[in-house]
Amino acid sequence: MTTMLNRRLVSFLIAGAALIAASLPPMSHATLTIKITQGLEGAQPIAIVPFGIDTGAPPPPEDIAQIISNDLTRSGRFSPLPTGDLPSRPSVATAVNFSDFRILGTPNLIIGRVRRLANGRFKVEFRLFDVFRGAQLTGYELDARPDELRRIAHQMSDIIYKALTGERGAFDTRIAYVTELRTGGSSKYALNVADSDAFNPKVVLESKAPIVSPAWSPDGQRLAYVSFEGERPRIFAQNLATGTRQVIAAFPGLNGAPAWAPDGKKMAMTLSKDGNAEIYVMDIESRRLRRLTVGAAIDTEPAWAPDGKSLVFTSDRGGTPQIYRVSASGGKATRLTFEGKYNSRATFAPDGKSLALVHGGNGTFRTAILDLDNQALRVLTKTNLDESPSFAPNGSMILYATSGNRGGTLAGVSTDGRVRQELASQQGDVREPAWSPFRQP
Amino acid sequence: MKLRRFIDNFTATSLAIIVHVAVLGALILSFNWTSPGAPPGSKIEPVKAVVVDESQVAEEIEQIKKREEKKRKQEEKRTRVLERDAQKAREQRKEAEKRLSALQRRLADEKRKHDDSARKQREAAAKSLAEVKRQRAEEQEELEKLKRAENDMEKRRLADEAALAVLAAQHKALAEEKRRIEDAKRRAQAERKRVEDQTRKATEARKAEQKRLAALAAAAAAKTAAEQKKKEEEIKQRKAEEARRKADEAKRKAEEARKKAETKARREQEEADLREQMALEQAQLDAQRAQLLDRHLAEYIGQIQAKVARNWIRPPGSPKGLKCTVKVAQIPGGQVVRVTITKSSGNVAFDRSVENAVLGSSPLPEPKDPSLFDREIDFEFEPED
Repeated sequence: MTTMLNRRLVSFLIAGAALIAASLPPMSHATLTIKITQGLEGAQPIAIVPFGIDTGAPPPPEDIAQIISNDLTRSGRFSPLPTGDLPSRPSVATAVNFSDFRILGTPNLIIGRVRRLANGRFKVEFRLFDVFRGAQLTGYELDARPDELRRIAHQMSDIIYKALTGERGAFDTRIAYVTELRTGGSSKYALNVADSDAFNPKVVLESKAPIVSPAWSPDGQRLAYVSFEGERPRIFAQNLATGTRQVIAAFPGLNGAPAWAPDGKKMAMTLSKDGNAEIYVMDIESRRLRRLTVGAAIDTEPAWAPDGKSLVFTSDRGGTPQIYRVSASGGKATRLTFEGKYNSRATFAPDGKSLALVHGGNGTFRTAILDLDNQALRVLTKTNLDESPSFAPNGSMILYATSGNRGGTLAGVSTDGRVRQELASQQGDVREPAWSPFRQP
Repeated sequence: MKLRRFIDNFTATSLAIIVHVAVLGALILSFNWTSPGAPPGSKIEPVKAVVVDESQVAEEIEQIKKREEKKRKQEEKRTRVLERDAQKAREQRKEAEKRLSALQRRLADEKRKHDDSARKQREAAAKSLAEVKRQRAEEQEELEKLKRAENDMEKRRLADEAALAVLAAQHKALAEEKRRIEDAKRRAQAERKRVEDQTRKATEARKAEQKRLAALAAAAAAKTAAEQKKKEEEIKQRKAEEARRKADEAKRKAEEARKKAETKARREQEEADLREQMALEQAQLDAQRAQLLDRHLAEYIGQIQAKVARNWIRPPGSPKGLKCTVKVAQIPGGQVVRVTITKSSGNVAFDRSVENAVLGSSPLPEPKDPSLFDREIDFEFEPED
């Protein structure tokens, strides 16, 4: 049978060589090879069954399956099946009938259940199945207080994301952002920290004076920001666990745009103490400064490369705001952006290979990605007034603020631009989001 | 089989869960995820891992028993389902067997047809062979005849020889007589000499007598010579005739041999032509079959490509130039039973999308010609763009 096929394969390959084919000796075992070059690029289908709950008891305060579903959707990598399309709703492994899901062509299935314990805590269990193979890929049981359920769900999302993509998930991370709430003639500013999906917001600092430019320390334990308390801008660093804060920079003139170096020991910032806005790097412990830029132009918004060896910043030295790169030890800066009359607020992707930035033109300001290898600029959004793009620590998404109908709102876009989504709406005008690093154990 | 593996997996997973939960618990314990800005003192308890409490053991056992009971019932239910599935599978197998036997019948049919024509050709060949044999037999017969003629000739030759012997004997007798006549002549002369002087009349009479005797002798000699000559002439004539006959015979034989050789050559040519014709027809038949198979193979490959491509959803934002090769095992009917990555793209999500594309395309399309079916197919996944 096989040799026949082989012989036929040969004759297939050598067109018109049918006569020769019969006299050819059978080839050694060479199987049919089929090339597949066509296929859709898109989010992977996944079935997420609402988690089983105790019958009779009040339902748990969070819908774990929904949180996981939203997380995976937001990443742009997965496309959960609408709940109404689920062929069955098993919550334990023994109740799973894989053929139900095979028919739908969904390769992955998540089931789970939430049980209320006598002490008021919850036991949450989930399993991820390979539908086609009928095998479990991973599964965990976690124990949580009611207010920890959302976080448990994000952790589960991370486990699932890692199991299916091989990359670390960034769902159990946090975002910081500033809100401005106007009441009557006055404004109230707040610095907030929330889950990566913008739920669970917690106010870190409230002030009648503007707060801008929040920046995460590399260990994720502190936030640096600029506060205009006392009618002048100063750079603060605040410990998120304890709430204690310290002044980092309070030089005459502008103290702005703090950016922690990857080693956590240095901070880049914009100071105008010498008369003009220039980029400086401060050794945090000694407070010693080193000036990186010189000239009459405005240089601001420094951002570190992941290896800490160079920085990018915005400068109008060429007549319009553009992005430049300079060595961390100073020297000549090289221009990186040439497309358009406005490029600002650059930040490095975690792999250091691209920059997210705000690209302006024709009255719009949109989030874009600049590929550092080939200088290609790709606009990711269709909104008009984007600001402060910030990469997820795994590089899969970019968080930014944009002007919506009710003022500034938070939005996320997958790095390939395919999935754009507004995050849960916050009270007031939302600005200056910053995505935290990975949580450290 | 699948069920057992699943249970194994389940047990292993339970262990894994306990370990992971313990680790995760430890991780979470070590990480201070107190809410930012929370007032000091209100420490939030970390997520706890599951630990079996001894006081709960009895209750646990009870629950386990209940669970086991439940499990047993589910097991029974599953068994029933399995049996039903097995029944279905048996039916499907029967169906497959039916299809297979139909295919085999068709194959047998084709083979029979093919055998038929081969048999006819064989019979025709046999017929012509018989003809050859018959002609050969005829030739043999002619040869026999020829031999018989040769024998006759030999006999005749022997008869002639005998006749010659008789002639020779007559000749000898003649010569004897001649010698006797000579003797008589000599005696007569001596007599004449003796009586010469005695009587003249007697001499004359003697002379006449001598004359008569001489004439007699001459006549006898002439007669003998003539007879001799006639006999020799006859023999000569007979010999010439014999030679002519022999020459004719040789000529005829040569002609016959030539004809025979011609016939033989013609027959051989015809046989060769027939064989060539048969080989040509066989080759054409083979070529037609090969062409048909080629077309079916191309169709088969096209159908598989279309189905698998339809089920291939590549992960978005994958780097360019990824390529993944898998070996796919299928059973008759196209059911995919195994997908093994033989060359990974190095990208987990891409590799998974490839495996899922093949698994999601099960059953794979079946070839029109069952001989094209192979239990193993290699797939190379490489996006064109």
